Amino acid sequence: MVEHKDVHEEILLAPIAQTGPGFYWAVAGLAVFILWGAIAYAVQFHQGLGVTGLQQPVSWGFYVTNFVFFIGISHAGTLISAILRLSKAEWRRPITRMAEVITVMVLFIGAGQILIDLGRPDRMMNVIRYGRYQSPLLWDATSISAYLTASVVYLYLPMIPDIAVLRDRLKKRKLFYSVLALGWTGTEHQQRILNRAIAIMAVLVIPIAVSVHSVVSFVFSMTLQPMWHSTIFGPYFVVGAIFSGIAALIVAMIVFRKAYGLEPYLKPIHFRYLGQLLLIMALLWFYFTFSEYLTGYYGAEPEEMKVFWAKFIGPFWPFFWAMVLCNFVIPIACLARLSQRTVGKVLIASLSVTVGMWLERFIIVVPTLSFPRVPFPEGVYSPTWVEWGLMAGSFALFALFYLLFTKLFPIISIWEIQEGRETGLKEVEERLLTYLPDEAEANILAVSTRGR
Amino acid sequence: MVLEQEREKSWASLPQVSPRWRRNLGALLGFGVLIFFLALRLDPLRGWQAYLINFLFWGGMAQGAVVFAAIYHVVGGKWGPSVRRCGEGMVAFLPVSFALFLPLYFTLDSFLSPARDLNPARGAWFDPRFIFVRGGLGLGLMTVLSLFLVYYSVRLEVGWAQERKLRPRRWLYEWITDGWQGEEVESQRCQRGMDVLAAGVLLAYSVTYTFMAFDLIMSLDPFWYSSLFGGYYFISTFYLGLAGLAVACVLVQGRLAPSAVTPSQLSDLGRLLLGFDLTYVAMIWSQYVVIWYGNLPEETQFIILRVWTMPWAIFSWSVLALSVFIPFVIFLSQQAKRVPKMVFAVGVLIASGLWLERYVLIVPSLWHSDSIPLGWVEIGVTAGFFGAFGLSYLFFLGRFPIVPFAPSGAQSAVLEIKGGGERAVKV
Repeated sequence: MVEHKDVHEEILLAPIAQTGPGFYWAVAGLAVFILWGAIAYAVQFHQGLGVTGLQQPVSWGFYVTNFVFFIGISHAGTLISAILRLSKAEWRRPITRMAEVITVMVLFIGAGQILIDLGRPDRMMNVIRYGRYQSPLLWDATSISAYLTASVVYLYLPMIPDIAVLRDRLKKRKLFYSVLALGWTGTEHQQRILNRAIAIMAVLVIPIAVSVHSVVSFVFSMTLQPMWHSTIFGPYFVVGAIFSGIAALIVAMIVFRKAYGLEPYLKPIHFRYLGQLLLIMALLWFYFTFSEYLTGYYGAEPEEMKVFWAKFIGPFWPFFWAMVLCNFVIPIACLARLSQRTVGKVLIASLSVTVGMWLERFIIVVPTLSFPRVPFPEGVYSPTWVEWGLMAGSFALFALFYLLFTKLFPIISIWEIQEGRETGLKEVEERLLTYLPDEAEANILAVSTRGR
Repeated sequence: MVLEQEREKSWASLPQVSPRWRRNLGALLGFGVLIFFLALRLDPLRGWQAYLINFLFWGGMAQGAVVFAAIYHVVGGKWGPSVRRCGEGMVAFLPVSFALFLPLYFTLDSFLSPARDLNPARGAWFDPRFIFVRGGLGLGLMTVLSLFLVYYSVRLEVGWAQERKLRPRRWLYEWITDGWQGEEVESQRCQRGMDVLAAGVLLAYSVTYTFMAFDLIMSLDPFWYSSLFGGYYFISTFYLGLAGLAVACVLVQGRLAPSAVTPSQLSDLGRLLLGFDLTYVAMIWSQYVVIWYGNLPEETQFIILRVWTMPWAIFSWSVLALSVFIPFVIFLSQQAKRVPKMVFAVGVLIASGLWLERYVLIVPSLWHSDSIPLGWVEIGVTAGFFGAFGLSYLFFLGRFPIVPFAPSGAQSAVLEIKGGGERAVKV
């Protein structure tokens, strides 16, 4: 048992203990995009939002699209980690940490998009100074702050035993790890308290996460703009968020599996299960999209139909049909047959969904503003290099944060893997036995005794 | 050998349904038919209203329970094969439900003509023939897919029993085992069949029930529409199926096959109900808050009439109390979910609330008098549907084992973990 533990620690701590040239190359590559984004932001800060493609009537473009997209991705942590923890799914163990890290990182990046979109970031204070409780914008700020706080705590708690391992085994950053380990020694009492705290946070974080994306959707659906004022938006946004979150998680898993040699932990079966989840979410997403457009067609309201046709056959048709291709056709083609659900195909489906979900956010935000209900002139939106730069910089910053995290903390939870090996099988067996009538249980015990 | 004995036992202990149950249910059915025809002579609108509510309620309950069985198969569930079988049993009502859809043709025109006259822009949506054809096709497809899903689920067991001559040769068993090629081949064949059909049932369910929500409920109001209504309705119907399943499991465990459903399984079913309680109320809230905030007259009139105007407000708030608040409070307790009487009571409460939900969604759109149409007609028609539902369910329970011996059951899983599974199966 001790040998197993040492082997786990050695493999999972390797990325922290040693740093190869690949890391520096990756950082350098990301830094190029981040620099581009920084220059773009400096120009926008200095000259104002006039340097972007945002104007009347389309005053929300890439930034708000990115905001909704990133906040959506943050649902990876909630679904995979909290739900799988609560349902005691054993296969979650190597995945939860990766998911939780995504949540925290993208929440920072997502919230940052609003600061960028405001032009003058000091205006963010107006939400606090002049916030009106009737405004979905205030609801947004409140729920995202709550979600960020809960997610940071939920990421940190299961890290404590691993941080203690880092404190004890690594020679560098001793003080940093000692402070974060909170004096963890792994006593039964500490373990009991930790398990309880994790369970409480897992329960708390689910409704908060669901409320976050419902509230993000309210920013659109509470207005009377055509194709925004739609009752389906709350669940539709939540489904889309979970969908894109799973896709982003799979991509991250495959990248770090390859980069850090984590194949013994992230096995094909994990990708099969996540692929199945992605497939279910693809079907659900398609259902909600179908329902949304079908009802719009049923309502046949003239202003709505203008936006409807602009998406189907008008100026936005390439984005709309690319969205359907990426979010439905490609994932179904890659994932529908269990026997062909390989890691490669799951990766293709996930990349496709990531692109498709960004397009979905874009197709929600921009066409409606191009055809407003009030008598503004209709207009098109064309992003400038500033918006492209800030978008590239945001994605690169997220990747860099993630990468740096993996150099500071183990990206797979060491103690949870160990716990699974020691007690997981027994727990599953005990749980299964409670589902059997007493007599059948006795028979099984008899069979297994004879077998031995 | 142990599993062979288990299988024999599961066939030997088929529930013996008392003839008194059948007589009582038959009497309820007869009473319902009589009341319905009386209502058609005296007050046709009221008769048809009650018929539509009950058609949606009982058909939805049966379909929701079969959808549960399909989901159980798709996700590879191992925790409750007997719960799954209790759900599969409700498939027996689906052909009856399909047949009960057909008479609606005679009333769709009268239901939809006021909406058609007031809002001609929606044209084809309110065409009763179009609605009847697409509704019939959807329901027919759902019925066929559901029946074949359950067919493949029981085929292995029936074939095994027929090979050993454990059951009398009945036409039903003969039909189910037609072309039987031995357990090994059939095991794979049934698994493949269920894989395809379970996915088919889930896909068809979402589309069919979305259209049913549009065609048989939303269309009754000339102006109101909500993009979430289809999704809301199929979640509500699935929740209804789970509530019906909870009641059925307790009845089966208490009256027909003791120990078939364990307290752990009831507890898990209770958790599912709690989860869908929250999903259901999230759907209600998502729909309500957007309409309230938008404050558009064509949207708010539907809500104000039902939630803030008497007498309908009483029904709407009762729905929330019965289907959401009370079950939520009770099922917060871990212990309550393990007590059969409690699970039964909560199942009945949720189902009653969802019957009222269908009532309050349908009736205010059609009924424009000051009185409340809730009395002997509604009770009689509901009793008739209950009789038909109960008889169908008993038909299934009397013919197939409650504890299936599917290879993916908890029993096999435990044996696999213990390392004795393969040996035990081969003995």
